[in-house]
Amino acid sequence: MLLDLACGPEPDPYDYYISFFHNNLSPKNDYQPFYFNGYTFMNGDNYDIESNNENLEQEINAKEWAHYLGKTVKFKDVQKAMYKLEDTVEAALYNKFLIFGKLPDSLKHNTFLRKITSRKEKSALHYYLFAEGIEHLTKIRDDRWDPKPVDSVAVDKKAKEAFSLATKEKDKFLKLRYYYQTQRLYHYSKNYLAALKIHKDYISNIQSDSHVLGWALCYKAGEEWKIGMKNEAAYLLSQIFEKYPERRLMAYHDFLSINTPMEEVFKLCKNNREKGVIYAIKGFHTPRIGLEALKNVYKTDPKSAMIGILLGREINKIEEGYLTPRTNGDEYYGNIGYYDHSKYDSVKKGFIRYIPKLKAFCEQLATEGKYHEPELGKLASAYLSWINKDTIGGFKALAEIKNEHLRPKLADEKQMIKLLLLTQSIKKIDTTTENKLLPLLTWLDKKVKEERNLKNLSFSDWSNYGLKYYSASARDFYVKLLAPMYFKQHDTAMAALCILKSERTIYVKTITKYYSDRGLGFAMPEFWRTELNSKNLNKLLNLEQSAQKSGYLSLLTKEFREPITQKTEYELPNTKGGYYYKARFTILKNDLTKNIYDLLGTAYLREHKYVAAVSAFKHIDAKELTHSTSSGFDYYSYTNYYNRYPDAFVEKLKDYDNKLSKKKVKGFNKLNFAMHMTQLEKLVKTDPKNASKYYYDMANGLYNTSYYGMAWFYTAYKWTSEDIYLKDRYYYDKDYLHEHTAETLFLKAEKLSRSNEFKAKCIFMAAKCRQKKIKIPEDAETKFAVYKLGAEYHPNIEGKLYNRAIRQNPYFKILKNQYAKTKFYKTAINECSYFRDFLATTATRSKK
Amino acid sequence: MSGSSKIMSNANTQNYYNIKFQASCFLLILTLSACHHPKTINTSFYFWKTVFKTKKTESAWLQHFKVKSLYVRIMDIDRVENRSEPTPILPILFKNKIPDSVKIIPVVFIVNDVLKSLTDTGISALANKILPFVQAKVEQAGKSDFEELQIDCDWTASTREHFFYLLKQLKKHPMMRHKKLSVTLRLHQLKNQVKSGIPPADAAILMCYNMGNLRAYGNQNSILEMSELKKYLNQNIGAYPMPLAIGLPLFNWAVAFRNKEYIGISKKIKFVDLIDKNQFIFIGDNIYKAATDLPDFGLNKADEIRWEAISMDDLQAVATYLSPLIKANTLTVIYFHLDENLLKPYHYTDLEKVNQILH
Repeated sequence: MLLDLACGPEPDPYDYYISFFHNNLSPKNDYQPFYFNGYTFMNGDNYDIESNNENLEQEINAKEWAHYLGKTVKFKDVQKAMYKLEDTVEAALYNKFLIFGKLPDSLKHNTFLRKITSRKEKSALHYYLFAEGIEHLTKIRDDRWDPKPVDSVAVDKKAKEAFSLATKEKDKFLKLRYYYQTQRLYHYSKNYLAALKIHKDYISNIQSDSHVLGWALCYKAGEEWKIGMKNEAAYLLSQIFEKYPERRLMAYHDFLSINTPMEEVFKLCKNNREKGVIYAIKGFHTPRIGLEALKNVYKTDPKSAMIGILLGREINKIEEGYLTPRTNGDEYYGNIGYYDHSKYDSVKKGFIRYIPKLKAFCEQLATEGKYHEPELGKLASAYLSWINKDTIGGFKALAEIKNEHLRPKLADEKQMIKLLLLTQSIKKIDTTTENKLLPLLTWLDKKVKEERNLKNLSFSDWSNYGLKYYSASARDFYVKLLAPMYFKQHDTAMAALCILKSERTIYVKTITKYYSDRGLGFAMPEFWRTELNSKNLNKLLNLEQSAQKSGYLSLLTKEFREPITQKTEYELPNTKGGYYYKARFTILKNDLTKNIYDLLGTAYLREHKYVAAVSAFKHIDAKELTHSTSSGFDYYSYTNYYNRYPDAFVEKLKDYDNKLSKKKVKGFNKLNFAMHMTQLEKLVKTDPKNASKYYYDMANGLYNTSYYGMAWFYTAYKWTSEDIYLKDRYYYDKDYLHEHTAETLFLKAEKLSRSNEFKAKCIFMAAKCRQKKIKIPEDAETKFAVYKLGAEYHPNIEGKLYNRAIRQNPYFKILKNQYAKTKFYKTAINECSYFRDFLATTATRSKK
Repeated sequence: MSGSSKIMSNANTQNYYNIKFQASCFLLILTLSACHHPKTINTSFYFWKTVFKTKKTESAWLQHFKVKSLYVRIMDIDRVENRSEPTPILPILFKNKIPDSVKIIPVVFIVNDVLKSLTDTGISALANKILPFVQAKVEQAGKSDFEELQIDCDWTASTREHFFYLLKQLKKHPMMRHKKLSVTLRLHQLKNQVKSGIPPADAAILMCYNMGNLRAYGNQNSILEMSELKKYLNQNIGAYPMPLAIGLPLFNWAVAFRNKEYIGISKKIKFVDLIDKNQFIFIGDNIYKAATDLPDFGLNKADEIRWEAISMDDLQAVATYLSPLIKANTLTVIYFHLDENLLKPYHYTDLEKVNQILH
């Protein structure tokens, strides 16, 4: 018995709604943290963003130094010397080597350190030593449990020293940095007025491209904030936000924290562009739909780079809050994002009212000639038309894009929108319309394949889609837009192909040992495993194997022969105790056809068409077929096992204690099972004298390949304890969950037999089958849990009905009335407590 | 027998009644003395600011009342941003040392929510971090050690077990050997002892303030109101199974409402602002209405302020009520809190009167 323990799912914050209008359309990605994300505060994990910002700042400073010192110095060496030395190495370097002019062996080739320890760069060395020497005073301690406060006296002293060095220094590059350190040190000793004075008198009038000026401004903003000049601080932060990407996130956080009225900050702005930045910051902080920020930024600075990002945000909000629940039929994740979308009409209506207003703004953006990329407005307008099912309006907007040489991101987005509109325009999908779609689908396929080489950034490590925009879009397109069109036309096979194509956009190509005992069909989508009958599967095989496959069909079946990576894990002992796992990856050739034959054979088993099942299974390599259900992971002993076979025809008076056999017993794999069932069917006709035995064996075969048997994986690909509480889900559930055919066969066996003992057994087995038809109340789980805890169980009405029904099994009466004198009768009493309860009840009644 | 022997002379009668009266008085005094034991009142203060700097006024108050120990907030403990573990928030910075004559009783405030999801291991780890941190701060205050640690936490039924476990871990830590552990006790915890439990500490300080409904619109004084106090406090104070000190308030604040909905406490508004007719209109009782938009205070026109402050009458009323209920021979009264601005409306005699009543 296999138990599937599951928890979750938890939505992926970077892929939790349908999105075809990608959030990364701006030329650079330096506003990535501000893309819309209704699930996290910033888009991209905070730590990642912060560490990326830190890396960016280090790189900027290192490049400035490399440029200053000349071509022989590599900026990576500067970065290493300044930021990436281990503490012990850094201490040794500082204490011993640099002061005496000697470098340790590990840093002898560092071009930066070699340069500054040369005779010509004494000033640079002096500055480097000074800056390293004060680091411990200004390092913001990450350990909040360190009770030591900042040594403000020592810091103040160093500030004075830095100032003295600054005034003496003639080199402009170093002078700026000394003044910066002075301001910084006063800042850390909380001498804010002194820090501000330094900035005002010595830094603010320096003309330079150096980013040190921006970092000094950051301190200035902090100082002004501390002394109560909130509006001034906020204004500065807005400037830093725009001009210094490495400090953008910090500026954003701090601007919001200051929380001063915008109107007050506007009074300090020198021009409209600066006002535009403030409107944009507020816009980035707005989770709900609204045009205010966009319109204000456009009004004040129509060329602002932030317009595209704000526009993207508004469209993504519509996708999250409206498009996705509408497409999913309101079966959505529920309460994530900012809305409980599916429940409130007012929320939906709000979006419906908003879309035309946003579209009107997009048209304005595209036609007024103020924004530098009018095509973005048209693309957005076309997409919004698509959302509104205005296909003609959408095509019109696309046609109005005059630029034939769109930059790549916009060109791709145009293709995506075109595909959506084209699909929307199709009333009936057939060969003609499929051919119309083919060029764009081929393009989409190419985009998906290109993304396969992208590494996921760490913030999307746990999701496969991460930044793979076109893979996610293709996945959603095939399953949510294209498949439903086929379903509407009752073309299940083509819909199934779309579902498979959708799953294969990013196919998790590894198969681990844990699922290798489920059968080959396990590798296929769940829809294939549960909803496709033999007719559908045969059609699919015909489509796939047809000699004259259309281009469209070839595209849909392209992934059938993609190689797979098999992951094998080894448990190795750890020297410190315990174990660790090592994995080996092997690339294997693959052909999904065999998986489809497994599904087909299984479908035939479900449909009791054993001859056909044999034929289907014979298309699969015998070893592989056997291996697919005879090796796996034993959850009881928590080990791998190999070559364990179900005894599919064994007689089971009890449902539990399903041990697999080490020998290849009858029905040891699906083919062998089908062959035996075929044989039994023949024998019923050719040897009618023993037909009862044959029916009995067939019934056992069915019972053992049901949910309750040890060979359940001959019928299904997944087993959970919840299955028995659900209503019939699939076409095979009436046998798999409720033993309809098995019961019939046990009765046939009983009728044809002349042995009372055997008949009694058949009735008992039929009773077991009948038991599986009684609806199990949902609180049965509670009952078991309660028993475990030793508390009293009080069944609800459903539970009481169940308790009664299970003890009033109609076959109990037959057993009692007709077979009470058999030996088996005693076995039945011993085996079944419900039967005992039935007998006790009837005995009581007869006494009365 | 002559009639004169039966009748006392007037003078004798007078004497008789005098003696009887004096005897009665004496008996009465004796009886009364048997009920009322004069208590020794020790006055102390909480220091609740994040920077300790010697201020003349504050030092004078400490001196006048011969304050032996000052209850100093060392830090809050809460969770911060992305950190999952409890963290010190705004630990105190000692710019000056605490006067030699005054001992320090470090106080650590723990946000109740922090306790909810901690495991036993996490709680032990927290206890192990708190004590060295407190010790380091005590040394920064100019002291070599402390004799008592106080934990301030408004624990609830759901956090009770975790909080009590934390107290036990603290108590058994080597750094707490021969030291006292006290806790703050809120009125609801005194009243609902079954639900709140009795914390495993050596002593507690009963906070006789913040008893009303702060967020409810109205003219109540949520800091201190006799009717509220009496709902929680009666003979139960005498029956509490550990020594109790009393905390009394000396602070004030401006509680803001918009359309009768609570919007917060304004840290900036002082009483002098409220009586400025250009800024506020007096409505009645303790309610003031913003006459215009006041962005510096974060108020819109027509927003209302309920000014809550503590008068001496209030404090004396509390003292009068409490005095007969407290049976202990010694009582420590801790005023919240020591701040020269808050002390401005008061004179030494005000607190002396309170002490006298409690005595």
